[in-house]
Amino acid sequence: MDIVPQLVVNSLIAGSLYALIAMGFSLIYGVTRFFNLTHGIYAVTAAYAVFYLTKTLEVNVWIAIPVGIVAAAALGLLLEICIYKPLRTRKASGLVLLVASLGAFTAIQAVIAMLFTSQFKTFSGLFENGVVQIGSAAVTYVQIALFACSVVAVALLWFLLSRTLFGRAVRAIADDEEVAKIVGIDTDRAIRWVVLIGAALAGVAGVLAGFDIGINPTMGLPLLLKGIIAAVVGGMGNVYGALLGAFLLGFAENFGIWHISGEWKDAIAFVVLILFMLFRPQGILGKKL
Amino acid sequence: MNSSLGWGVLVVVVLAVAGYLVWGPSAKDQSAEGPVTIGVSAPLTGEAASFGEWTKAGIDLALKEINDAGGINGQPVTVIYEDDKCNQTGASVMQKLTSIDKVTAVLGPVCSAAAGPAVPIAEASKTPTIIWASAPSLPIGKEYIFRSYPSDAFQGKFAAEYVFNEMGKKKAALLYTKNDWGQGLHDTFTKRFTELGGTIVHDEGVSQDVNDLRTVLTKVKSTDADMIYIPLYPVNAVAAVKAAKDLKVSLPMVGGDGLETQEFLSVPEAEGVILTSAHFENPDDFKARVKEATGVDSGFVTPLAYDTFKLLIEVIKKAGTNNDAIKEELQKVFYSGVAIRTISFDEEGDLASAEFDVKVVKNGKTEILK
Repeated sequence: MDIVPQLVVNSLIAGSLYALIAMGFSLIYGVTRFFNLTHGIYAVTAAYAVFYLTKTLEVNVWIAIPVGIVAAAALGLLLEICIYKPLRTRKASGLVLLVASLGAFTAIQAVIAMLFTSQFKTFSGLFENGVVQIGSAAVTYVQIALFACSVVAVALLWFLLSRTLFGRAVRAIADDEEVAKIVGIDTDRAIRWVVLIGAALAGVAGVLAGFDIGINPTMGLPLLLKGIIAAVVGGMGNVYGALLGAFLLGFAENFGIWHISGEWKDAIAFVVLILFMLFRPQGILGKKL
Repeated sequence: MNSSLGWGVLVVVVLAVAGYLVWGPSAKDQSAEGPVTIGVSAPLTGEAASFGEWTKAGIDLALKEINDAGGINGQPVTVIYEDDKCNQTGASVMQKLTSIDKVTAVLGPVCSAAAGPAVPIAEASKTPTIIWASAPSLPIGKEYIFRSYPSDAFQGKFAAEYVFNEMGKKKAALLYTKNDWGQGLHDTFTKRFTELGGTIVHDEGVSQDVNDLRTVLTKVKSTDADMIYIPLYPVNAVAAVKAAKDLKVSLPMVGGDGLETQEFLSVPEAEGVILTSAHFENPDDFKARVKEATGVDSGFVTPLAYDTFKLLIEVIKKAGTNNDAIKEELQKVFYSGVAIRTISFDEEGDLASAEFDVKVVKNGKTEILK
């Protein structure tokens, strides 16, 4: 039983990573109503930007990290303006947008692999060798930062969505974009801001995952899949639901492999998804369908 | 009318090209003046890219020396490199080399994960193929497949004997990558270790792409293991050593030859990890030749790649480019190389004899312990 505290810590770390992806994904889904698969590549872009800046240009890590996150946000905005907005204007279906995002995901991943090779790389320089002992559980500073970022992110999102005019606009668009337009909300501008914030959150996840474990160009897809599962389990379009879904997933995965082999981890994640699809398709906090 | 004529011309052209590709002259029918083409399947990118780079350096040097000396009885030799990424891409690579490029013979795959799906394709196309993927489960022993690298049936046994007899460890925790290579080492290590009287106190496989092993290492920490045997691929292995350090798991770790890549060795947490790998000579004058010809430092599989390529060319010199003749010549070959004193194949197509080294990771490189 003395491994339980460590399992709890491991679950919180995994949950924090999934939460950063899932909250951004859910936020963007709320206003655009399609499965944006490029969300995974925002994380990869930020991680490689930090890798390039710190390893090749030898830029200070505290400058590189914000630049990496801004790079992810900028990529999100660029794709929104060049691909998704024109498609939405043409009334393209969600399926068309999904396929377009899959294409963009694959193309950008290939470009990153060409620029940096597809080799697994590690980088360091953030809180070197810092480990904290909490009872019988150990956790590194990077992992604490991951948890702290997810807490700060949810607090910021809560403030933005429920205490600002921007938040009301976002909620109005999520309810009905056409009506929001009629009442005078600049929906395109609001959507661009939402994409910017969502992509930046994915960027934070990518950078911290890079410091924690390492990077390769294909790291985006597993992150994205876990983020999507968390978002669906939490209730699509609901940011707080995504947070709950992410931690539920983190706990299910890590406690699930307590007594069985680690190779079952991904299978457990998808079993959780299927169970929710069957018995609670609207997710934890979603409205009944 | 013009449009239908255009379509008609297009269809005829497509059919003509397809017909040429299917029934046109193959490499095996090349005229005596044409080059002899050898295909190479290696991980040029991906988590085991160092293996690919080392393999390519050895083959490039051999190729240069052979062509400088007049090729095969006056015919030049060319090589087509394909990237199998050390995963199931090996299947499409082998398909391309054998059915589109129609190469005379194939070297590689280097990784068992790529060789698993590739070997049946090579066999079906009757293309003589020499792999150096080491998993015992690979379907060697068919007609056209040979292996110039020792099978892991030897390596797992060697590792178990080293851990039990030399390190004096009796309780092993086992973490392995769930692919042909990891499973092969897992099975042979477990068999020999328990025969010697050791106990496997924890046994867990992980998928090849998993990079979070915190919970797995947490479980290992709660056991009374006195060492961890880690036949893991580089991505898993990096995750394992990082998690071990974070969780303060200080048990000695012993891995396999899959760890001898820059991707793993360059990680600071890898310091002190012990690994077993096949013993190949890599003399200084050979290293200098490789460096001069290719600009690459000779890695541990470079001399083997060099030897295997030269051996194959010697065989083709005697047998010609006919696949059956090459196969028969390979079955009786005795080749004295740089890496291995005598390369010959047993009736299963496997390397007839094998020696291993025990190495330790020190300052981002490996040093021989034994």
